[in-house]
Amino acid sequence: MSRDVTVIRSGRGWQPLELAELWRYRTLLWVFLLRDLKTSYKQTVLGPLWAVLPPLLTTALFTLVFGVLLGRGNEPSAPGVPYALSTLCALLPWRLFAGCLTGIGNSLANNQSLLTKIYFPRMIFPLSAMLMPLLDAAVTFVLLIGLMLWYGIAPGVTLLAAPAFIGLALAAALALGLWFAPLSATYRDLGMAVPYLLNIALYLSPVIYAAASLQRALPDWAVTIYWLNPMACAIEGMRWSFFNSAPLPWGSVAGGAGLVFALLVGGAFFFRRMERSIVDVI
Amino acid sequence: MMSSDWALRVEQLSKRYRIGERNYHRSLREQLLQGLRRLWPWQAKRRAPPSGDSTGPLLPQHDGNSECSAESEAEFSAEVEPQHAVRARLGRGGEFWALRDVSFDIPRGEMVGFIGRNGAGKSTLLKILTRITEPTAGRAEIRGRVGSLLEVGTGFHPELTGRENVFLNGAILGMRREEIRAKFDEIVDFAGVAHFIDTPVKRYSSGMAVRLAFAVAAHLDAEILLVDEVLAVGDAEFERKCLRKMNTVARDGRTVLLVSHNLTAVQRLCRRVIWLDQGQITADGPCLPVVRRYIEACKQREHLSPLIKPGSPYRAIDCRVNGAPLGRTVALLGNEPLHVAVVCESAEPTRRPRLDLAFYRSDGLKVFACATDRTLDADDGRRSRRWEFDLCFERLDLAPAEYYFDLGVRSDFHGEYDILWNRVCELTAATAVPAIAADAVLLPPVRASARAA
Repeated sequence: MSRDVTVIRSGRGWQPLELAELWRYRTLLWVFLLRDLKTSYKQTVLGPLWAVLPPLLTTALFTLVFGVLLGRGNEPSAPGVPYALSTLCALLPWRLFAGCLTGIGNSLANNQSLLTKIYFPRMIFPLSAMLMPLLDAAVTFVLLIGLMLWYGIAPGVTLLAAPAFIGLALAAALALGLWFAPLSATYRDLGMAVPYLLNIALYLSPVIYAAASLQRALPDWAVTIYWLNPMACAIEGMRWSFFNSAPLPWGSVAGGAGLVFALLVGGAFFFRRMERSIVDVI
Repeated sequence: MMSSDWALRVEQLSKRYRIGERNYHRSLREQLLQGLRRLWPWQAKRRAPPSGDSTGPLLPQHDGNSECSAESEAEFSAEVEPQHAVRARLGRGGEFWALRDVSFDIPRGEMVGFIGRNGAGKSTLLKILTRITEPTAGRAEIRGRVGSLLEVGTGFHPELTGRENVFLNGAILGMRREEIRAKFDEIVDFAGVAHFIDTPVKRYSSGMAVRLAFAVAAHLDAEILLVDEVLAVGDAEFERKCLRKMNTVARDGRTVLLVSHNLTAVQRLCRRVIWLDQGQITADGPCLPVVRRYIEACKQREHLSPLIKPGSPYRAIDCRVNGAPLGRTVALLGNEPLHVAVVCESAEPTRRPRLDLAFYRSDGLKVFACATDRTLDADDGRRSRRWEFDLCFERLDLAPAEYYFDLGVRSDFHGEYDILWNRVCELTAATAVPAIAADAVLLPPVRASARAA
């Protein structure tokens, strides 16, 4: 029989992150993933096809509009890489980021009934919101490899770096989400703003175009600012690891990663600070 | 108490809510507008609505979200209390102390009951001890793992099967996978749903779902168990099963804190009872004397004037039971009609509000609840300044006992009553039909005969 003493008192100001406690509750993440997996395709006709179709259809649409109808000026990031392939490669981290951010942003507001009735580390909610998008990304990864082989392009050794850029996209979503989630539980406006902001961010990130084409069109200082967008680093990083053609501006990527790290740590503490009062305001 | 073998130690625990802190759907725009008003006070005078803009929901609630089910909606689940009591607890600047300087020690293996009226702070106390919300001041120390049976079925997913939900619910309650697996058969057996364990829970009857949920929670290996009003979850047989289970839990040397309005259950299970009133401990001691004092206090208290929600547009004009104004004990034969008539008015025309009635036996057993509309949406769009409600029961067929009921008028879904009469009417039912079981609730009309054939 464990005789650990739990002390409950009012905590003021900034709190430690209690990552050890979070680790003890890891079963919950697994159980939530199983729940989401088992329930997400219930009463749907297409079932798991829903993981396969959206990235393919989006790629087809972007290819049709930007690659075919609008023609040149939208060069793929790597010479010799078809537009569709390059776009699907960009959509992998982008859809992961967008899915996670939407999920995390609503994770507290959507779990109101759990939140107000039972205690477990609140950080579980944003973390579990990342699992299904991550699984989606894994499916896209397989599709992408398949499409590459179909086009007759073999992945190189740089592919080993791909997980790092997927991690960067995940970290960026979590970093922003940890700021958004407590705020959108209190101010429901944010829940509505996130999809809109994501729409804008899609155009500010090199998804339908390559960062290289910007570098020709924009002055240097503007390009520097552009690379501060962590998703630009993640997406171009993905292209680099898959196709290894254009060299990456490593300085900018390190800057983007540093920014994400700072936002992530700040967001985690912010979340811990806000989570204590969330039950009373949600 | 110098006992070194304590399981739980609470020192001067206090919880403060700010009025308006639990505003629903607080939007950024409202906040910005409020900030602007503060900057330009002359604007505020002109624009502030007559009801005042800072009077949000006053008290913490159990189930104020939109997910509340049709059943719970008819209940008086909002924690409310007479206005004078609220005022007494209002500090400066619209503060409200749900708990104030509560201290007690509970030795290991003791089963303690918490009693008190709605809004006395019992649920707030449990919410703090389960770490759902934080205290404003004071501290609590808990030795050992805490399990809670607060809201049965929290986290149940209707699309998942019973088996999957056991694992989901167990994990939410803090059990490890192996632990759940080891106890799985016991849980299913206890709930009595073995045949349906691989059926989605949405196909369960509500009783089955609740039994399964209770079974999971009851098999949690916790040294300290916090239980809030869960005994009334099933039929009589299941309730007996629960009580037996709770008794074994206590015998195992585990500590149990039981919050209940069901004084019978408290008396049956607990040797020690703590009576909370207005956020403070009124009495703490052996069960029987405390429960007796509590019942006496409940009888003496007369709530003839209703509690009006701050900022509510409504005021009560009239409230009659069987034609007589409130405030008298009504004697009723079991098969006589009961007629409740309420009139309320507001300054501006409003959409149709609803009158709810919850009927209890004097020991807290809920007999039934009903309302003038099935949902608050059942509204024909008419607006009026004056609303008159009638609830007519042609016959109640109650077994002889003492009863009372709560009445509430509300106009929104959030479970807060605009006007609320607590324990408005004490009824004594008597009957001409000979009753056999003294503890029965109903005496339905029966044509009985026994002939020699």
